Amino acid sequence: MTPQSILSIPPPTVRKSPYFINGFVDFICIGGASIIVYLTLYLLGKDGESATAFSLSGALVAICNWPHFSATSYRLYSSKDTIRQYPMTAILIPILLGFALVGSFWYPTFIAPYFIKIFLLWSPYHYSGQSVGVTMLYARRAGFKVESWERQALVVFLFSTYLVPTFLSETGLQAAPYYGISLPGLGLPLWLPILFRWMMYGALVTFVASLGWRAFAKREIPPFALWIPPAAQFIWFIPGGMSPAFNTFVPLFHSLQYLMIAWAMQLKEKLDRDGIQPSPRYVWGETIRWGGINIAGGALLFYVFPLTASWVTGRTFAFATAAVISAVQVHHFFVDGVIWRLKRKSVASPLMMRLSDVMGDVGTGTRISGFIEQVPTS
Amino acid sequence: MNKSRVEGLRVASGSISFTGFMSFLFLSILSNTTTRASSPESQLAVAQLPVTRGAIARSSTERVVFHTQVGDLVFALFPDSAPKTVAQFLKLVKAGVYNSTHFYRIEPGFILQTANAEDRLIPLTPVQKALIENIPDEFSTSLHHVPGVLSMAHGDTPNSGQTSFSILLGNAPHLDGKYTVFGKLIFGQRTLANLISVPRDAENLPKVNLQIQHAFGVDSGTNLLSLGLVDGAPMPPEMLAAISAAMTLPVLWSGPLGPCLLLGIFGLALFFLSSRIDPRSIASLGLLAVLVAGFLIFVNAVPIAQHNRILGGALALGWIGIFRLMGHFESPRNLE
Repeated sequence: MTPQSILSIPPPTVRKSPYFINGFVDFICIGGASIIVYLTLYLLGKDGESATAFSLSGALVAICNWPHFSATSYRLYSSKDTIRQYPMTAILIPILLGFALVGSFWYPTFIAPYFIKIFLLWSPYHYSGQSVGVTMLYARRAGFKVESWERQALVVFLFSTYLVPTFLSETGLQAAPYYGISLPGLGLPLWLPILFRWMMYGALVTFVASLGWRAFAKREIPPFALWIPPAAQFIWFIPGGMSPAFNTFVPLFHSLQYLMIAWAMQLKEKLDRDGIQPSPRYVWGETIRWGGINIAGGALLFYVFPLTASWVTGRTFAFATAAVISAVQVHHFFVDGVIWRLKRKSVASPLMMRLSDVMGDVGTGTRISGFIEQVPTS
Repeated sequence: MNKSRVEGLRVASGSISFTGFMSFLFLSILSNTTTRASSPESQLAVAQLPVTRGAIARSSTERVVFHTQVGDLVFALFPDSAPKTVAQFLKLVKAGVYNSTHFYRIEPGFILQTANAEDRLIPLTPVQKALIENIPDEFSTSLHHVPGVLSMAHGDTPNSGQTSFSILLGNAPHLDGKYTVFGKLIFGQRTLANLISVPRDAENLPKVNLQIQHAFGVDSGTNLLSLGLVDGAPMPPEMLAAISAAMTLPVLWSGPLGPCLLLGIFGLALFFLSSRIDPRSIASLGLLAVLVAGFLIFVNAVPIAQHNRILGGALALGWIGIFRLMGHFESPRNLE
């Protein structure tokens, strides 16, 4: 081999892992936990028992579900710049929701059931949107291009997994109780969920067949992580929707997805913005600070606010909880819808971070504390 | 202004402007009627209906159940505030006077009123007739005409109430001191929604017979669930047919849905036409108009949609579209 030919050989490169932390932790956070929990409950035959699951999810809600809402508010309201960037979302939407909340307390049987109903319809839509986002994020991090029509198939599949059970439950007229409030059924035609069921499976076959063909014919292997959020969401709503025990955990799984990514974003943004040197000390310190704020914020939004509203208005705590958390969550849906746009560089760029970027071993390809996984190639 | 407060949100929803809606809610907040929760009924999803300012009125130990074709209504009574009215009402209920009488007047946002017992389907027996007598007015400074309360009707002269009474569907402070508040609805929110969703003529008379099939009293300690009460039963076919026949586009358009639809279309147009203008505040305001219109349509149309599945499907899919639109609510402003 001549020196010239040696020079022409490309140097060994280090392909970065698509994971924020490592394969296992990312897998658990973006959907693996839900798959494991569902299979465990199913195999143990415990999927119909909700009492223990309810207690367990109730215990976890304050450290996982509530903080995830708080994390959104923190992201929007923690700096004046962000508020100035999104003034309509930061100021006008809370005012509008405030009116809806006052209306709900004022007309508890007239406004409140419809306001809460909207929130309940919106919530799984929001889950679906996040599942699409997380899937696309991991595809991008792995350098795998999802074609436009594959993306469309994915979107149809994920949103159909939500629409099938939601519409099915709305085919009846029987009012559904929610925190003691009687919510009206919509009385939808039965063909609507059936139509979406066909669309769901059609889109799934299209998506899988397309990626399968690319893997077979073009050797474009889709990353493992790309399959996890769609698989998890399918389990949340289709087989898991029939399991009362599993159902109680679904908001936690959704929150887990969110918290990992929001945490990574927070670490990277703060580091870049404040010119902080990457270090494990920074990561742990910021994690504790950010986590603490969001746990406290979650308790404020989901316990203190309803308690105060109940005390001020004389309504029951259950009613106040239902109304207040509806407003809090609709606000969350709005904020999430505008601040997490992957198409924007200011969002996409920090989301390409890996823990090594903020821990202080950038480019070394080594492991720190067992956290980092980088895959050397050729 | 006063009219808005009286007729409630269904009328407010007729207002085309977002500002009007906000003003309505704001005025409601400023109004001097304060809502308080009723005491919870055991094991039932009790409608939390407002009753008094300050203290919660003590209700009697007896409840009255009205069984209708479209579900049950349960009333608690206020013997402390209106002892004579409550005593007479209970006496008439126990004598079967309200059996086969009907609701004859529907004004959404205001009242749902029963007919006089003399007009009921099965003629009153002489004994029942003999029990009906004029009831003196009993006004209370602490009880107000707010949604859910029962208000005894009377003729042009005071102290002339007999059998007809109203269930309030909205705030009506102008009725305070003129009509006796003697009870409240504690169960039957969906039944009430069914009753007020039927088509009515220009004089607010229902086009179908809303008969009270059976009225009876029960002790408050009775587990109401054990009575098999239904909050919002499926409507009988003839009633559904009447509703479907009444749901013509002109009817929908002339009601509150028309202005709401206009507001939504206006908002959509504003959004699409201004989405390329920077900053996108105008586009965001357009989407807000869509959101408010969508909500008002939802509030008004769900009771109708429950009996018109195509409309129900359109509502559900419409909201999915709104959720999707809200993802474009705002783009970040360039702070440079």
